[in-house]
Amino acid sequence: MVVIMPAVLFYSPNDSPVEWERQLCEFIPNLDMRVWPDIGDPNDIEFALVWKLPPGNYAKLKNLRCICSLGQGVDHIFTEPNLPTHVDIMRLVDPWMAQAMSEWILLQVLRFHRQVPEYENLEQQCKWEVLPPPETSECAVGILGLGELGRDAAGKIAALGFNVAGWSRTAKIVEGVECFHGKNQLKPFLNRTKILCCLLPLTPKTTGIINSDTIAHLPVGSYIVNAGRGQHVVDECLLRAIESGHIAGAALDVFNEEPLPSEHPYWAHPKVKVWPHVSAQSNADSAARQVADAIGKVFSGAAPNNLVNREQQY
Amino acid sequence: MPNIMIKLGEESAESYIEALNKVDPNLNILEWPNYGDPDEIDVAMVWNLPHGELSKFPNLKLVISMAAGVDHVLSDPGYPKEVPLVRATDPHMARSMAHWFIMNILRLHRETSYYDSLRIKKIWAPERAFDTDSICVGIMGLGYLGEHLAKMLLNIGLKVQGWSRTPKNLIGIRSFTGEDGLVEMLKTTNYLACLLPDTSATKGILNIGLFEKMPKGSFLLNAGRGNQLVEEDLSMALDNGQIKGAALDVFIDEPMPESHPFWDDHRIIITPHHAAEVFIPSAANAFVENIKRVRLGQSLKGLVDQKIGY
Repeated sequence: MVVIMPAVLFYSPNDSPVEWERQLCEFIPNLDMRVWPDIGDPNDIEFALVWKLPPGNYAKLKNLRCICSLGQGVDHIFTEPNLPTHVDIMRLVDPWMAQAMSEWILLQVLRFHRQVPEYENLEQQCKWEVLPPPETSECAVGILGLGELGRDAAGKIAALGFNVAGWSRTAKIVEGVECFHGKNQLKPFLNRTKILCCLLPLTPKTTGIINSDTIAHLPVGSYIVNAGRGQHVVDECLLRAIESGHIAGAALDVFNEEPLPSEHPYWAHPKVKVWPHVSAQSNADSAARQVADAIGKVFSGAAPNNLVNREQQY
Repeated sequence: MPNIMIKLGEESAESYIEALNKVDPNLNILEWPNYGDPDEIDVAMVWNLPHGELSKFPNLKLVISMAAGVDHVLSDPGYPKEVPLVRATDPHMARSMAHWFIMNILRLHRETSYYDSLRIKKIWAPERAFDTDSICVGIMGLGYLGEHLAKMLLNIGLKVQGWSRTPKNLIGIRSFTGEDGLVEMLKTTNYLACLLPDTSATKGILNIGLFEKMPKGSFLLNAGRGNQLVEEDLSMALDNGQIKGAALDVFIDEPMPESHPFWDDHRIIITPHHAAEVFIPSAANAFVENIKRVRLGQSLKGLVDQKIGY
């Protein structure tokens, strides 16, 4: 008797299905991977490996048991209005991605701390001028979100001698990092922060968290770095705060609309550095083992690792 | 108590005198050229003191270089060789230097200039991935500053190896020595970080022959001394793709003249010799410590070996 293996659905506008299939087949040689939209019989599919699957499609997969996000974020799954309630949701927790993200955050923190925008301006004018040097231990970096990514970044920034604090919904302990948590401690956390880095998951509670109110609690001349989601920032509030001088600069990798529309004021703004969502990309090479493990577990009826809490949405 | 003479290049030494007196209010510090009786001077704290001046102090016991580099003293024919020379060993400065390298390694790695060019054209190009595992930093010079850099690079998760004149034993860092060792290290280094001291042996060491020993498309970062790099060789290596990008803090001619071709070369990140910023209060602590030690006849910290030149 031939045992028919359930199928895996693949969908992503950013990732190569060929590369993923090649990598996954090293662990599951007889993998039946169906690349959207050529999915054959939807009832064969029990596992979905997806990034931003167009809405309305999960409900068509009657035998679906697990949705795995092709990235650290799962907000693209929770925006689905007809999300089947019995399906497990998991995300990738890729150490390669955490390292890449920490490097990107470190780069932004060092750029602002070392006055790179000011020096680049001087360089364009061929001007040799040394600005008063900043003192690292007096530079307070604040990380919003102390999940896998936030913790890694906070520890690495602290290792460079910065004064680092973190804020998260629930209490956390990170060595060398002053930890704040909950709504009540957000204000004192912001009050002491000179460079604010957002690495939060996107949930209904974190949407628009960087707004006029929160910005007002940051000291004048602060910087904002966002690698969470574009929806964490209320763009008009940030632009207004930059115009008023309250915020001295911003480095953004994520936007409310991606690709960022060419008429958006961020593009040409001298105090905003736009990155095209490249801070940390998922990598088939380092993540395949984890996905293969999850597929194996789900097909054998076990629960995969890194499940997402549906209520908290992360 | 004897007096201390201070000279800080073109800059006023006022803030230093204030910081030194904060550490020890009993120090008598006089700024060059108004140092009073030369017989009363036992310590000279200097950066770019005019050559010949050091020979005017018959009772000099100690020369302190106000920066990590000591070539400005050793190249002075009037420097009395029997007087010990110490360099600045400021932990803040070492950290500042390490930050400069880390930031510029990451800038080069993330191809900042590539993204900047897209940004000007408003092009969204997210398809490029970054291979973090591919970074291997090779440090030339594992002295006070080089060792600090190596440790910080390890702490943030990057691969590090180092080359120095004498063998070093640092945990987690492959260490090389000698000419063969340098060739060996260069084979697997794609980010070369130069922190060598300025000696006759290091002059012109960063040349086309050395670049060709690295993998094609490597990166160069120099915060040692300007004369360690053969500038035309870098332009040549950038043109033929052997070197993909560079970050330079030191130059043969400083300030770099406006006509210098590096200014317009988008493949080179230029900073005006500010990689290692001295943080005066912490530097002052280390300086006062050595002044006390020399006056009590104790051993000195950061003593320069004049035979090898650093």
